[in-house]
Amino acid sequence: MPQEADAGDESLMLAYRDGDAGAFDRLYERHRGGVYRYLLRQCRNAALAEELFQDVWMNLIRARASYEVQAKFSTYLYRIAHNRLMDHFRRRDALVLSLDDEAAAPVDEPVAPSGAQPEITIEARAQAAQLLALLGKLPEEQREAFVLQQEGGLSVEEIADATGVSRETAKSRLRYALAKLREGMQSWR
Amino acid sequence: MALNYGNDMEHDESLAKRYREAANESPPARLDAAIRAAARRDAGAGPRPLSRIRAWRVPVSLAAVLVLSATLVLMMREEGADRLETAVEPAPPRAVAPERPAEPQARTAEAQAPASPSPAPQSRAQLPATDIAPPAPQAAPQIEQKVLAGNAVPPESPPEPRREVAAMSEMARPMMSAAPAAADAAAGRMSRSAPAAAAVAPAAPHLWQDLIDQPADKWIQRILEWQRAGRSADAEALVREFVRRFPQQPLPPEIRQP
Repeated sequence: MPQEADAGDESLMLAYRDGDAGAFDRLYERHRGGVYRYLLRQCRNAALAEELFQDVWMNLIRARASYEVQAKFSTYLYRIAHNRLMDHFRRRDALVLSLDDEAAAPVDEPVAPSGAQPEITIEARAQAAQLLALLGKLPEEQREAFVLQQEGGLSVEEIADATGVSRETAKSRLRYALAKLREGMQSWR
Repeated sequence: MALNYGNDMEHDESLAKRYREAANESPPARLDAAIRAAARRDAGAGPRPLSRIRAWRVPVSLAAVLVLSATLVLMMREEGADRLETAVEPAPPRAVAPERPAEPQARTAEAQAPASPSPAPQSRAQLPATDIAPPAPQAAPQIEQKVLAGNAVPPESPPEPRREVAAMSEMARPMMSAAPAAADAAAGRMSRSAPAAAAVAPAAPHLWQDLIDQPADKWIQRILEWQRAGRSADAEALVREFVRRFPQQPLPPEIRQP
């Protein structure tokens, strides 16, 4: 999670802009998981998420020469990811409409937590699976707001900035998402 | 395990913790390698020239703005001074009106240097009597009115030169309207021509408004009246104007010369 390590992202990106490949490696290490999971949660297809993930980072690499610090780097990065997702959804919707094929976009089931973390108990894994399932049922915008908060460490304002909506809209989406997730997790109280 | 849900409407630490435990997917290593390689390739080209341009963009822009502004100001000053000199200099020997465009400059010069001694006699010596201008702004319309009214006021001096004066003042009017702006713009450059202009310009034309068409003895009479009445400053101004208008006429000894 990048929340604790966001300081210096902008400097790293500026260093990369000026030719420091090592700076990119550090940036990538900080944000690769978050961006990937954001894409995965939104498109719910691992293969597609990988393709979009690569596009997002390639777009960042291509834009390095014109990079200037105008916002937090994570906001900038997730805005690129959001725009790439929107492009994909628009194309997919157009394709679905033209083919009248509802199954054009395969939807994977929410990915359950792997067993690679022995400290996580069976009950905790069940809770996590429940949470991901609930997350998968949220409307796309509400899910996006929640995931951006969790993966990107974005504030309400930054979520609004990254997704191109007003602060009130982003706040409302986040509140609805949290309320539904809380409600769905009531059985674990 | 019981979850402790926070009350914050926009953040829930328990949900966040649970999400962090659940969300541990990461991109495949081959993607990592491909992206890092692409980044290195792109950075391998070194800093792009655009970065250097960006670094110098602001200073160069500021310098360009400064140079252009300074050049513009200098050009405007030069042009303003040229216009001013053009307005002042072309005074044909017999023309009266061309002195009038210089009048606003003279006023400005007077305002700038009120304590400078008036070199009127010197100026008077340089100009023939027939070429001396009547008090310009107030006198010219009066003369025009008289001419248009068919000489309602009996002229004591030949009317022909006055008609000429009126015509010239008509011609000079557009120049007069343009001259003050130029004079104000180039006030700093005017000081060299100011004494001459001040010498020609009347100090207080309203004082001798009613004497314009009167002979010299009327002027002397008025000067004496004012001296007796204690209006020394007005009397002195009138004496100056008298000397300017009647350079051949000797002043009576009882009149105090300024």
